[in-house]
Order: sequence, then C-alpha cells, then structure tokens
Amino acid sequence: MKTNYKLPKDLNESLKNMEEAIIPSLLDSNRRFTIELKFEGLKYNKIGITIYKILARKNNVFITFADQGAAALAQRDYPDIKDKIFTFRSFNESNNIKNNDSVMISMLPQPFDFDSFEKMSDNYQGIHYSLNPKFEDLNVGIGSVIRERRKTFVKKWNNIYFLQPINKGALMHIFPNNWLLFKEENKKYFLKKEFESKPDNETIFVNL
Amino acid sequence: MKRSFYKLFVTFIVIATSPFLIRYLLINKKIRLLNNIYFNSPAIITTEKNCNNYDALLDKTLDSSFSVSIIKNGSIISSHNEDKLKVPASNQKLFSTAYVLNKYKITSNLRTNLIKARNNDYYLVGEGDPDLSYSDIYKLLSYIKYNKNINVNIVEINTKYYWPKGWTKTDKIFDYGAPITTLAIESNSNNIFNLNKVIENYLKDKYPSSNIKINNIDLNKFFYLRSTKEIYSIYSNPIVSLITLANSESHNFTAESLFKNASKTWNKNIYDELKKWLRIKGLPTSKTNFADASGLSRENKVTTRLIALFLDKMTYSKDFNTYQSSLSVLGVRGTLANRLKDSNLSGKFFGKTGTLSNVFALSGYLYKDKEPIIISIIQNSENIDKNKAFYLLSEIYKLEKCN
Repeated sequence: MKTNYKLPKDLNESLKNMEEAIIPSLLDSNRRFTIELKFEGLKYNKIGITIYKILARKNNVFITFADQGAAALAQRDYPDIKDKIFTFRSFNESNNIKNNDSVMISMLPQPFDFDSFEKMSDNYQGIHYSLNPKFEDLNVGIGSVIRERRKTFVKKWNNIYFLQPINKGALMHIFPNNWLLFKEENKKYFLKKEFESKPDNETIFVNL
Repeated sequence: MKRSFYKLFVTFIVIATSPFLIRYLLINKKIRLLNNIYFNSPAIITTEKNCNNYDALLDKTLDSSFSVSIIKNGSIISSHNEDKLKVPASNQKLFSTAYVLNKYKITSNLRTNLIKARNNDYYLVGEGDPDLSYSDIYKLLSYIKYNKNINVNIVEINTKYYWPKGWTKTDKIFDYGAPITTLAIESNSNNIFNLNKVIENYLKDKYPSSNIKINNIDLNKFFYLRSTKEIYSIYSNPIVSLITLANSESHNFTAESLFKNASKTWNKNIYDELKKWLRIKGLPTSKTNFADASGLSRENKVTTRLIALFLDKMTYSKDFNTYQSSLSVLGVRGTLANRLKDSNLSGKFFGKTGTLSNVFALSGYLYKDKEPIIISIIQNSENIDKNKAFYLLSEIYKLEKCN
C-alpha cells in the first residue's frame, strides 16, 4: 500500500485512513489489533459503529463493552444491532465466544476491566479489534507476576491505526505503513521522520 | 458442671463478639445474604476515623463553599462541612435512580398502550418512555380499525404537574427542562402540543370518510372501563438502559419519568417517597429536602454526608454492579468522558457530576485498590471552581494510607 504522508484534515478523513488500515489487517496473520484515536471531543461509540460498519460488510461482527451500563446504553442508541452488543463478561459466557470466523470490536477496555477483558480475549479465536485500549497501569501496586502477565498479553496486540496530536507535532500510523512523526511549524505540519515501530517519548522529543 | 461452664463461656464469647464479627463480614462483603439484609435494614455500620493526612488536604484545598465527605473501608475518614445543606444538582439522580433500580427488574420496560373500550373508543396511555417517537405513535394508531365514528382519547397528566417545584422559567425553555409527561415524543425536546394534531391528521388521512374526534383526558380522572382491550403496546428500552441514560448522560426527563413510574406519583409532584426510602435505610435525612428526581430543582437540599453514606450502603445492594455501571467513568464515558483523560485516574472513578449555575457536585467511587474510596464533593458558590473538585480527586488518589 502506498504510504499516506498527509495528516487527515478532519475526522472524516481520519476515519477513511482508519478504514484503509482495517481492510488489509483482515488478511494479516495476527488476530489482535488496536485502533487508537487520541484527540479531544470524540464520540467513541460513533467511532465503534463506524468500525462495525466497515467490518460488517463481509463479516459477522460483535461489539463488546466493559460493563452492563455501557452495553445497555449502546443497545439503546443502536437498536438495529443490539443483538451484537455484549459486555466482556456476557460475551465470554455466550456461545459466540467459540465463533472463530467472527470479528469483535472491544470498546475502551481499561485497567479496571482487565480481568474480564483478558479472559474473554484469551477464549476468543476470531479477529479482535480494540478501540483505545488501556491495558497497562504502572501506577497500580500490582505484583510482578501480574505485571509480567499483562506485559505478555499486551505484546499480542498490534496497532493498525494511530493518530495523536502531541506537543509541536503529531504521530500517525496507518497499517501496513510505517509510523510517521510530523513536526508543527507556523500551524503547518511537515513529515519529520518515519519509524518501523512506535517511537517512544524520548525519540519523539529528540526529533521535534 | 464443667460442660455447662464451657457452654456458658462459648455463648458469652459469641454474644460479645457477634457485633464485631457481623461488622467484619459486612465490611469485607463476605456473605451476600447478610449484605442484602444490611442494605435493606435501618442500620448504619459506618464509623468515624481520624486521618490527619486527608484532613490536611481538605483544609488546605477547600474554602467554606465546599462540602466533602470521604468513606473508606466502612469509615468516614475525612470530611469538610459535611452536615451543611447543599443544592446537589444532578447528584440527586444518584438517589432516584437507585430507588428505581430497587423497584424494577433491570429488564423491565415502560409501556405505551393503545386501549380499546367500545367499538370506536380508543385510549392512548403512556408511562413517559423517553424514546417514544412519532413513528411509535403511528404504529399504535395503525391498529385502529375503520369505523364511521372514531374517538381517540389521549390520557395525560394535568398541566400543573408538568414541572417539579424549583425549576426556573429559563430551565423550562430548554430541552433539559422539558415538561415531564406520560406521552412525551422524544422526551418533549421539541413540542409537546402537537400530539392531538398529529393523531388527527394521521387518522383523517387514513379514513377520510370517518368522523374523527380527539379528546384529552386527565390521567387523574382516567380509569379503565369495563371490557377494555389492550390493542398494542410499545415497549421502551429496558430499565438498565434508561437508568444509564439518566446517570451517565444526566438525562433529566428520564430520571423524572422513571421515578414517577416507580413511585406511582404521576398525579402529584411529591418526592417524600424518596426521602422516606433513604430514611428507612438508616440514612441521615433530617432537614434535607427532596423536590425532584433529576436535581434540576434549586429546592433540593442534601448533605455530602448523606450522599457518601448512601453510596457506601449501595455497595451492599444486590444491584450494585448495575448501579455502578450506570455512572459516568472519568476519562472514558458520559459526562466525565473528557475529564483527566490521560491521567492515572482515567477509568478508575465511577461517578456523577452535578452542574447548575452556582452549583458543582461530584460524587462516586474511586478505585485505587479492590475496595473503592467513596467521595462526595459539592460546591455551592457564585465562584464555582470545577477544577478544584477534580484536583481534590487526584490528590486523594495520590494519598497513601490514612495516618
């Protein structure tokens, strides 16, 4: 795929870029993917539904939420697909967990939900996308065994779309292309550098 | 002699230690049945404990316009003006949605019915479904059969009960202060006066040769006639969705409508039932005032002590997981979605905001360990400082153990 060296000018363009990343990911050997849009004012359920629509053209898709309240509200907002909406726990307890040909989108799993999310994800062999997940929480006083387990779990996940404005720049990734670091000058963004994997904070700082 | 001495000794030990044992079992939530008994009983096991580091934080951060209560592991560990009566704004929904949850199954629905009395006499009766739409009304009307004379009676509450006491004229103009009625199209967010015309036009279009009459009947005077028949019902989203809508999105109409159904008070604007429900749970309600279910009324007066003790008691309810999941989550969803998004606290505070002019409230469950810290903060002031409430939340999270 030809690398897109331009930052999206609005949310619609960003969602198009996300779609460009989702399509090839369906053919990838990996089956755990993260999608991360890290800017203010987003309605995540709407983005989740956009991902659902992209995937549902050719797949049986489920959406899972951390808890009953979040799932119930989504079922109210999207009555057409309410049978496809579950909590992490209820999906794990349903027969759909064995549906290896299906695709799942998990909405915003947080460290608080890690136990139920990990169980569900480990039991599910279909293609699994997570929108803006936060798996690790280094500030919580958890033991080293659990920390290691979480690290192992996190390594199973590959990012396919990432967009975040950062101080004096922006970071973007559209699978299968490289990660792109943009520098902001006079309110315009210029491509600064490409990376094969996500650059850490120090690398970003040095390059901006 | 020796045996009876032992029996006496064991009985004495059991009696002497049982309050401590029960408290231990409750605090650690060991026995579900015991938790449920405690939740429904008038007992309060919460104790007071001195935590100088928490007290110092509150003293340093807050002025007299704030009230704060903090509970951890069954003890009020710190407070600030906690018995001062305050306007809670939407923190009022913490009480009313719990009341509703206690009265309904989470899968229950509100219904909007078309009832037929005689050949050509129909009644439209609702329960304040917040998602009721014109297409739902058309669906109900589609079950009306042709007759030369068709009478449709719209059963609705008296206009004097449209708004609870203490809602301002300005509130009533906006969507968030829409009237609370039983047949509300899209929660009355547009216009409540169109329904008669809409029904008449639909039926005239469908049956041009019929003589169509649309009447309004006061719910108070409405009674089911003999040999009536329910023709069709529209079911609302389940109670769990509606409670989450009320709490997470702070939807006033839904909070009011749910409470009116649960307390059977469509024909009056009285909220004593809510206060009574809290009182019989042993919670400190004296001098408090309950004027609505959503918190829009400026006449609501509660204390942070009441809110915190109530949130603590809710952790013993069989419905606690559902209740907590209906709240906003800091940095993740609902009215707290855009607060402290990339902080350590993101995803760890399940709570409810409350905002009115001169009011900001923030109460809920903060998870640092397995057991939550329960926090209630209310500021009533002409100089509201929302950031201070969130700053306090972050600082409480940072604090080490009570000392």
